[in-house]
Order: sequence, then structure tokens, then C-alpha cells
Amino acid sequence: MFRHVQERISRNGSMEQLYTDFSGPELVVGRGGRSSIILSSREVSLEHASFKVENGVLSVADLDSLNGVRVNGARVSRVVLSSGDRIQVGDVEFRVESADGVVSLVQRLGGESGASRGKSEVQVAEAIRGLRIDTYLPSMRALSYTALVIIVGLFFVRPMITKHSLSWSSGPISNSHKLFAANCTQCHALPFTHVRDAECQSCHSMSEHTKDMVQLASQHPDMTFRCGQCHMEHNGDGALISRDARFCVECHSSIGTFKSDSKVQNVASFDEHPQFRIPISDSSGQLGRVSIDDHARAKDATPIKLNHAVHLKRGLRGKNGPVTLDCNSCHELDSDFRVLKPIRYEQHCADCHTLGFDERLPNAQVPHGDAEGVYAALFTEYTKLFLLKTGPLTVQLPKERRMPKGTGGAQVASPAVDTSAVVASAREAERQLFTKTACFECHNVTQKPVSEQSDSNAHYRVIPPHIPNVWYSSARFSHGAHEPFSCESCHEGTRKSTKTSDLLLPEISNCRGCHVQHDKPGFVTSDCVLCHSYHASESVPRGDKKNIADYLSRLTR
Amino acid sequence: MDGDTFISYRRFRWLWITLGAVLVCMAVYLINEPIGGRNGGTVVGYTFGVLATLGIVWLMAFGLRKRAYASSFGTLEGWLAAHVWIGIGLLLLVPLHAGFSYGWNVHTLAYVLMVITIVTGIWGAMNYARLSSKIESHRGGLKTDRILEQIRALDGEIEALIATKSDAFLRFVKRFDFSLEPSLRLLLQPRAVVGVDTKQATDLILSLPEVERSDALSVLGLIDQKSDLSKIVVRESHIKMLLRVWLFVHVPASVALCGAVAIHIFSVFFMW
Repeated sequence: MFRHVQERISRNGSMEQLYTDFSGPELVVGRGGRSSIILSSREVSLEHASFKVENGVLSVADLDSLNGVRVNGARVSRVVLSSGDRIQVGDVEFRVESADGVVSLVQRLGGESGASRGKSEVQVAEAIRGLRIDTYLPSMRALSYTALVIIVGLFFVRPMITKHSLSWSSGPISNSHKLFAANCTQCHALPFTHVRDAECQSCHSMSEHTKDMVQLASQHPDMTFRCGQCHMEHNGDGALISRDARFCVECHSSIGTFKSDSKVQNVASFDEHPQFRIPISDSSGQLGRVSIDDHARAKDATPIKLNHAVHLKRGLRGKNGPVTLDCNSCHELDSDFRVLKPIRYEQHCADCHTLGFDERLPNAQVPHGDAEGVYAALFTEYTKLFLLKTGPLTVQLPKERRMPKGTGGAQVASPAVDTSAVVASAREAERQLFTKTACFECHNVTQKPVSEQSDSNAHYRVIPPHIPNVWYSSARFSHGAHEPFSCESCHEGTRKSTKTSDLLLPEISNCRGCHVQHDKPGFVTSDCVLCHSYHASESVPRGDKKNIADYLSRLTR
Repeated sequence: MDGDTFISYRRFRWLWITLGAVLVCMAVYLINEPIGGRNGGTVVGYTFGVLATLGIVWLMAFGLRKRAYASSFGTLEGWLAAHVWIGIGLLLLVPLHAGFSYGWNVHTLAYVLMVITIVTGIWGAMNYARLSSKIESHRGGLKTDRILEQIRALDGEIEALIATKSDAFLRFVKRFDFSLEPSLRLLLQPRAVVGVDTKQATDLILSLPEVERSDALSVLGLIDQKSDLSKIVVRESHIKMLLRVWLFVHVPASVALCGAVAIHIFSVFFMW
């Protein structure tokens, strides 16, 4: 006898069994036809398998089914079964249990009892779920929190802990500061505070800068500046040292409102720059500045007699024949290629302007630059002259004359001579030199008052010329940079100038032939710092710089 | 107004407001020439930064407003119109704030996240404008679950027809029948659902026992119905996917953006 057992685990966990008995030695399983056990599955053929008991031996046979019969996993066409075997008919599995002449085919059902309707609902719900994109993606909330955690972790927590991250840098750091670019606290020492000057000066105190800042403070005592206000970092190389004219003209276009006693003139741009001014001393001796347009007052007051027109004539009488001078003969470019070398008698004048004084002494010259020395030299030369003429002489040396070492104070035993002729000649030569010839030719000379005259000293005094090397002290001008242009294209009228007082400086209109404030094709864009230095850093001696090791030790501290 | 969508809400009111504001900002940006160049640290830069932050806060507030069903603080449609247009306006306002400078830092990260948020938002808005009217159930058609139930019912009818038929009939049914297996691939490629090749079917029907032929035709009819219903379901699911999938980038990117903007503001003032 065959028994079809359907078992399932009920909701309360107990095993439910439902069985149907079939008599006879053969049992067919399939979807229909002769089948006793009906399995409604597409994997099961109409008549799929046949179970048979012959002589007490149970066997199963495949009835030429679509999907075959498997016993314990192996496909079979006919096989003898024993208790415990698992037989698969299509997609339905049976367990064989044989006892007391009854062969049980146990079918385990899944799911809940009587749930064909419920099963359909579950399948619909699952299909709906499978058709929603949410099923295949993490939840929006999870994605959001993950993204937030990653960003806060990488870009907030990490920089706060390490204080060493470029992820907060608002822009490219200037080349000079890249060395410590990742070390934020090098400059940003205090949170929520502007970068303080102290941080800048921890390195820049070694340089010209701090001294310049002091100088700046003395010029602008009523203003407080931070370095960072003008020197804007994190803007690449361009902004750290900005050439923006507005830094200057913000105040200098109406300087009076910032500094009521300011003596500088208002400047709004180079195009509106006032005429150049030269320093002069007025009648009361006060130093002031006057525009070079003011031709009555703007004079070169240098106490020297120079006639440019004469000096630039062709074929002047020189030491070794005729010479023709040009500007560079006297005005030489200094090694910095900016300013001109000072005029020196020995270099620039001596070849033509010899300091002889007596035809009888063709090789004798008085020294330059020492009026006292002039008389001493004259006295010596005439003493030698008279000694040669009259035989051995005794010269009573003036007490003030310095003696060779070891002979101080001792009188030299020499032949006696009448010194009055020597003195008279020397004094006459001195008078000629200082009032008519060599000295007088170039220098302004004054005679000493009688009270200051003595037998042994000079009776004249030369007013020191102090030829100005740079006329505009608060501007930078490079003669070297302007070398392609001839001197006279700027210093006009030099060839016609006969007096020292002629001011041969170019006016600002000369500059404007090439320089303009704003971009203009064919012109040089000229902001304030092209000529002016904000911190005037060049005036500080280079010796004040500390060495690089000190600088580096500050960085790595 | 008839034919008004959230994009053209009240004759593009928010488009004009945004366009006006952006043009004013651009003019200010071009006129203003701060010392040291245009960047977020200038007066105008800070102003644009504040405006952009307010804009972002306002856009995020849409997430709250759309859940506040009881709120009468502007219509939701108006909020959505403003959300879309102001979002697009921020795409330009933020570069004006930064002076068009970008770098490998948290500041540019915030901008990139904002661009991702806004671009996905634009895509989503375009999908809504283009596709929302194509959802059958929005036009009085059946809802997805009802259609799926119908498919289940058709499956039942097919099963019933198979029950006592020959194996040849079963083979015939298995050859043509299909079951709707929802998958990501199906969502992304809705055309994957196939219909019945009736020409092949006609040939095969002739190979069946004569008594089963009319039932075979019935099964084919049922499969055809199933195919039509499946196509509707899959197409509609595809549209719903397009109307939703962008949010999986839009929302997390916007949350990450808020974090990045907060860090941006904090870091800028921390390292003043």
C-alpha cells in the first residue's frame, strides 16, 4: 500500500501531516492522466514516475518524463529504493519511508497553511519591491551620513588635529612662503585672528623690512597698518607684493585729510603727478622744496663754476693736445647701473685743470681739496726754489708743521736763510691761486677774516661744492635702464648752458613721453612703485642681515 | 494658471527674479576692482558669500517645507519653482564669490558638491517635466499592484489550462510563457520584456494534439495579455526610477555640501 504524506510545520511550530492512502502495487505520479498523486507543476510531466512493489522490493521508474527522476541527486531511469531515499520528481521532492508493508512518500510543503491567496500577495509585494530603484541602492540617509562623515573627517577633524593641511588653503601660496606652506600655524598663530605682524616679523626682522616699517610708522604715526593688509597671501605670487597704485593714492590723493601738516603734494595717478621738486634752502636757511617749473627759484645752487657749453666745445686744450668731451667723460654710470659716479677732481678735472702756480716751477702743483695744504706746499716749493738760487739755506720750519716720527720738537740744523722772500712769494702765489687762477676758476672762495689769519696757515677758504649726485631722494631713477636714449634727449639745453645755476633736470613731461599710469599700447605702464619705494628698503645697510641658518632655525622650530 | 508647471510657475516668476539677481551680481562683480584682485575675501566677495550661503540654507529648507503638509507658507509649487531657479542661479553666484578661482581644497570641494547637487537637480527636474505625465496610473490607469495582481491571475488561468494537458502542451507553454522577474537590469532597460512571436507559435500549435489546440490558443492569448501588462508595469517602473534615482545623488551631495560649506566658512575665519 502507498501512502502520500504531505507535512508542513504549522504557525505554532508543530508538525502537521495530511495523508492519502492508495491501494495496489503501483503508483503513478504526474500532473494528470493515470496519475494518482497529482502535482501541479510545470516541471512535472503528465505521467512522470511510477513507484512499484514487486516481491516486496520497492522501485521507481521514469515514465519518459520531460525533466526526469532523481534519486539522492542522481538521475535514474529505474532503480530499487530503500527507506530514507530522496526522490525528486520534477521540482517536487519525496522521502521514502517503508514500514509494515506501507510505503510512505513524504512530501514537505513550505509556507503557511491555506495560504494560496497570501502567497500571491507576498509575490506581488516582492515584485513591487523589485521594481523600485531603492531596493538596489543604499538608503539616501545612509549615503548622506556617510558622505557627511567622510567630509567632516577629512576636511575638519584631520586639519584640526594635524594643523598641517593644505585643504583649508584658500588659494595658491606665494613662492617665497611655499617652504612652510603646509604649516598653517607658522603664520596663523591664533585662531579667528588676522595674521599678526609678529608672525611676519619672526622671519622678516632679520631683513630691511622691519627697519622700513619703523620708518613707515614715523612717516604715518597716526595710522595702524597690518603687514597682511597690503601683503595678501594665498593669491599666488601676484598679490603678495602688489603694485596696485591704490595702496598709495587712497591716502595720497588727498593727503591733507590724513595728515594735516603733510608737506607732500597730492597725487592721484602718474598722469596727475605734480612737477618734480628740488630741495632748496631759502633766505632764512630753511630747507624746502620748489617745483622745477619755478624758474626763478629752482636754481642749481651748487657752489662751483661750471660752464657746460664750454666743456662740450670741440678741440679743447688738453694735457696731450686737443680733446673733445662728451657727457660720459665726466658723468660715468656707477656699478649699480642706476646712479652716476660722483664727480672727482682727480678723475674728471685734473687732466685739463692743472694746479700749477709758477712758470719757474713747471712740475710743481698744489694739492687739491686742502686749502691749508696749498699754502704749505707753496712754502715748501718756494723754499726749495730759493735754496737752489742762493746756495744752502736754513729754513726755520713753522712750529705747527708735523715732524717725522722721533724728531718731534727738535730743530733741524740747517743753513740760515732769509725766509721773508719765501713767505712773500708763497703768499702771492696763494693769492693768485685763490682769487684769479686755478682754485678760483672753479670754486667759490672766501678770504679768512684777519683775526683767523696767521703766519703759518692759509688765508683763504674754499666753499665745499657738494655736487649733488641724486636730485630726487625719494624716487628711484635708473640711468642704466634709460641707456638707449641720449643724455641730451632728457637733459635738454646742456650744450647752451653757461652757468652752474642752470637746472638741467628733465621735467615730468619728458617722462610722460614714454610713461603712463594705465595700460596703453606703446607706453610703459607706470605705477607708484616703479619710481617710489614703499618701505625705502635700499637705504638699509646689507650688513644687518642675519645668516640663513638663523632664518631656517626659526622655520623649523 | 492652466498649463503652469513648477518650472513655469506664475510666468517664470522665479526665473526672472533669479536672472535679475544674477545680472546685478555680475554687474557689481565687473564694476568692482578690489586691491589684490577679485576674491572671496573682499567686501563684494563676502557679500556674495553671505548671499550664496543664504541661498543654500533656503534651498535646504525646501526639504523641510515639502514635508510640512500643513504649512501654508507659500504654495509647494512656488517653493519648488524657486528651488529650481535659485539653485541654477547659485551655479554662477558662487564663482563670482570666489573670483573664479579654484584649487584642490575644501572650498572648491564645496563648489563641486554644489555643482553635483544642482546638476542632478536639473536632471531630476527635467525628468519630472518630461516624464511625470507619462505615468499611466496618474492618468487614471491601474496602479502597479493591481496590474501585478492581474498578472498573477493570468498565471493562475494558464496553470489551470496546463493541468491535465500533454507534455507536448506543457513544452509549448514553457516555450512561450515568461514570468516577470523584477531586476535592476529590467529597471534600467525596460525594453527587455519580450512579447510572443505569434508566427512561431502558430507553427507549433499544429504539432499539438487536435483537442489541445484551442486551449493552446487561449494560453497564447493569456501570455499576450501578460506581456502587455508587464510592459506597462516595467515602463512605469522605469519612469518612476528616473524620477527618483537622481535623488540618491542629489540628497547625499546636498548634505555633504552643507558640511563642506560649514567647514569652508569655519576655516576661512579660523585662519583669518
